[in-house]
Amino acid sequence: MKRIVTLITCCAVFAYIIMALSQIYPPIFKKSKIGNATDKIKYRIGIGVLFDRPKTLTGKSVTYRFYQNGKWQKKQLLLEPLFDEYKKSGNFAALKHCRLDSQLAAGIHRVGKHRDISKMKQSKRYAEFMDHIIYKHNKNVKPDSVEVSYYIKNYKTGRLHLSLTFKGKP
Amino acid sequence: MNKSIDIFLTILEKQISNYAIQDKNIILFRQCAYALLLLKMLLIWPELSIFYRHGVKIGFASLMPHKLFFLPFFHSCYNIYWLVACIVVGISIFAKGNRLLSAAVVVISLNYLELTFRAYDTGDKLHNFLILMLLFIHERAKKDSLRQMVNNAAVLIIQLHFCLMYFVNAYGKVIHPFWRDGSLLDSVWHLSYYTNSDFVPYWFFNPTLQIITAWSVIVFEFMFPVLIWFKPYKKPLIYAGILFHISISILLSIPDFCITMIIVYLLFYDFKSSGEKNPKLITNSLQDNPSTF
Repeated sequence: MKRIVTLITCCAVFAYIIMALSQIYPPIFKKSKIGNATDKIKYRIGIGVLFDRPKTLTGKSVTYRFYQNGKWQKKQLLLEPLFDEYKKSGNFAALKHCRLDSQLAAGIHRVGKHRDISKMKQSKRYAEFMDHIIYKHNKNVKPDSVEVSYYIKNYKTGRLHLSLTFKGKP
Repeated sequence: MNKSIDIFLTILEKQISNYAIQDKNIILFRQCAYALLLLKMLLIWPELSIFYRHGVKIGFASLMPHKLFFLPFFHSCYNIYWLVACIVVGISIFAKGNRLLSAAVVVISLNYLELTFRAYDTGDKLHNFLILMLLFIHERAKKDSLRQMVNNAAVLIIQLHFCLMYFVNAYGKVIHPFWRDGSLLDSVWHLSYYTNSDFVPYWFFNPTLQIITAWSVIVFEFMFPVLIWFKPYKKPLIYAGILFHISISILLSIPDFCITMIIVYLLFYDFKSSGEKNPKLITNSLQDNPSTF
């Protein structure tokens, strides 16, 4: 039995060595099947680099508004109020909610930019986003239409650049 | 060939058996890991309905133990499930490694991870991994027993995992020119919905200080996996690490990640030196098995 424990430990140590080396290996390895599998395992167990790409550090701001009762409502910020609540009161649930909203918005932005808005509207990410925004941000009342605008923030000038905007029926 | 493999495995087996870890480290580690899970579960409760609905909507419900929670049967009583789960985790903090409770906590930890899907971070995944490994760790194992060997192997895997996290992060940073010249920190200190601007002083944007900060982080992350195995460097590295993670937690709004990282330090901390001043702290197993690897 001790030999089995030794073998399992040995395999785990070997796997860690492979994962460490996979970080150093050239891009060809990363594109291979082993490289892909290693990356998936690394993602699953939480091994990755924090803040290593400027892309992940892009600033963003998302606004939304609903069309209901025959008129457009006032534009609302999606993420700022939640993060401000965390900063003000240390509300951990608000922080996690902000992360969820941020990921959902980033998801539709990615699909919308890389493909097109019609394909985005057919995607699972879009359904997820719409369901969430209506449930949480419109008290689960289905509006006639929703307008979402996704802005990229320039840190140096502090200006917002409109990256994606769309109107959609939920 | 077979003989050399056999010799290699025998040496490794001996090394794992001798790699003793104190009960105090294990007990504290378990209590802190479970207490953090309980804290996260309680803190997320005000928004539980949102996360639960999100999980149900994206089709997480299945007969897998950690996904049963999303089945229609629980839709009207998920708050009760969460209450029971909190009680189970609360009891586990003081249960000293009861196998059944440890297994239940693994399922609950996975529930939490599924629930916060798209909102979880590296810290949540690491925390889940630690709770999974705690399934194999038991306090008060007898010297030279199989149980002690499993304990040692599990602790060693956690430590390697942790060291690899630092190494991957350090290497990932050092290969990027914008980390080497510190310019990326300009974006980090502006990072939306992460940076706590109230605590970031204006002089953090000074280019010289950014180079110093960037290289301090890289050097620390490279040094930790190497030097932590040498006794004279353990305490300074652990104290520096705690300071590093507390700073990140305040500046970058990732409190749970930082607490998880600090909890892992408990497995590296050598209580022996503080125990020498207070002999009551030395457990019997420690006296029998001095830490050697």
